Amino acid sequence: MKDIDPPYDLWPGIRSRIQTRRRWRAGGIITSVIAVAAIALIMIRRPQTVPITQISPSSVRVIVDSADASNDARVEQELLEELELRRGELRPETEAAVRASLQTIDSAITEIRTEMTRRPNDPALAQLLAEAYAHKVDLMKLLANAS
Amino acid sequence: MIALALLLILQPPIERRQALTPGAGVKIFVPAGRVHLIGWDKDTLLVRGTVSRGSTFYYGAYHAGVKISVDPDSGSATLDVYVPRSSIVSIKAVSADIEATGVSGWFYGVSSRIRLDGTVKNLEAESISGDVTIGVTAPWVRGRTGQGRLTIGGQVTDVNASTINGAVDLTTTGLERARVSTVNGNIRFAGDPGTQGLVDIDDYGGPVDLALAARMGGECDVTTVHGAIVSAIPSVRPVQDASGRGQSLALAIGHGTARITVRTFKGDVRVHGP
Amino acid sequence: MTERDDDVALVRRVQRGDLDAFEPLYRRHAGRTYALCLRLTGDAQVAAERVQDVFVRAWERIRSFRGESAFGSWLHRLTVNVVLGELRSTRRREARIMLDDTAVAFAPEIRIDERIDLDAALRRLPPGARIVFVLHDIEGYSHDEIAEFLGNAPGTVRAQLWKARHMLAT
Repeated sequence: MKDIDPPYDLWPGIRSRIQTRRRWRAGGIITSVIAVAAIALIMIRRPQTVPITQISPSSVRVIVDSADASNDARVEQELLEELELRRGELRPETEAAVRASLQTIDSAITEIRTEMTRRPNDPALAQLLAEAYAHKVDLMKLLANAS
Repeated sequence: MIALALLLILQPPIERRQALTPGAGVKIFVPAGRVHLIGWDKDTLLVRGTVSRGSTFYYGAYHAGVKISVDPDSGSATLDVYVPRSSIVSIKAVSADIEATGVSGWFYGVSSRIRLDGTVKNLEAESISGDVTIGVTAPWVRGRTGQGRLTIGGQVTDVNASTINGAVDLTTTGLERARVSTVNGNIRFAGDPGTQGLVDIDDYGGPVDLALAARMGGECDVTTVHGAIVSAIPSVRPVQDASGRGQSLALAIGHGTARITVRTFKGDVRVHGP
Repeated sequence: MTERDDDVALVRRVQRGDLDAFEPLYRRHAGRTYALCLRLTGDAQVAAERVQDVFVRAWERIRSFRGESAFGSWLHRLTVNVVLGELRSTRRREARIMLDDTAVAFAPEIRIDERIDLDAALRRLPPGARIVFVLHDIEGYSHDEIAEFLGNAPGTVRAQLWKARHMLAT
């Protein structure tokens, strides 16, 4: 069958959508970088922790790729180390709440990842996984502000 | 006897005032007790209250900023703080209840109960295990809890609501953008995105109750990987996924470009009218 | 350099994030992609939107293209996935509801084309029959492949194909 030219040039619209997605991805990376920077601040143990300021009013949709899995491992390690450092400072019920939250998130990540091996291209799963990673970063920020 | 007992517990009452420039920053740290913030039209800050015996009240102020804190971490205070509406407040507590009316800024408690209302510029409220209740009129609001219940009403243009296990109850009107996300909390969404708002709801394991506002005009897409979708709307039924697991439901409502997208992993979703 | 080699060279640049290299790929494959979208959807405006969706998806998934097949073939399969995915969700919105319980049926627009040709005839087919006919008789997919795309049984695909051929012949 012969080709048919589109009724008008579609490239400008395609290019614009791709560039918008690139900006979203950059925002997601910035969110992760700032979270890691916040962790560095905690480790220096400044007297009064500055609250992590919001990046933008609506949250940036984090695009999941292989970098997020290694970021997640780093966030988890920093979170556990922070809990150990704070062991004497936090109330037992607060520490328990943080650990329970971390366990909840990790269980969710494991289940979603398992399902993604069966459905690798499912966009809903990708978004749910991205949200689970974001929840872990949020938990880190909540703990960081508890100094 | 009671007066004597109170004398032993409380220190002399506190009262401090400071004239502030517009947009001045006010930082407050109170471990336990209660803090009540009131936004007012005057250009001065006024703090009144009491701190418990054994606690130390710190106060530092100049025209562009004020710092109020109670030490040590086991200290307790009951404070009423009147701040100019243009001020931006950062308040942190361990277990102290925080209430604020007409005050913008950042409100944080480890296990604090936080209640915010009035008309504000923007606000962010977080608690690891306490409940957060927000009923403001504002351009944007961010609420975040770990285990606590998060309730957001009022009229807000841009809402970001996130919990890990806490329930989320969102009834906000005037929405142009809303993101609601929890790992295992229950979500009840009865907000109104009108004919243009965009709403994203992600719930890994908890149930979602989605009430579609009568004025809404646009589309609604619901997807669940392992959960079940129940529709209480006549003629609208979920569709089983081709793989046999999971369901989805898509419907158009009224006329408009609003969009509500719901994704769950194993949480059930109930969709109904107002 | 053949067109296929040129495609591969451009794809390698796109995989490194070069958006400028993506435009010549679009220009080369837009006509075929649009033709497929138009035949599958039966609507020019919808087909134009799907073409945009396809190329945005291709950009996002470009790293999964390994060069074992021609880029055009890879893009073709992506196009079918995108169009059918959107058709599945559109089909579910068959009733535009008003929340006062008055259901209003939402019928897809039927375009009347003056040209007496296969494209015009295709647009008059019901969506299910049209999709199966285009994928089998025009694009060359097997019954089993089409069944997998649509989440239907191969028997259903054969029945739709028979229906399409019967309607086109009469």
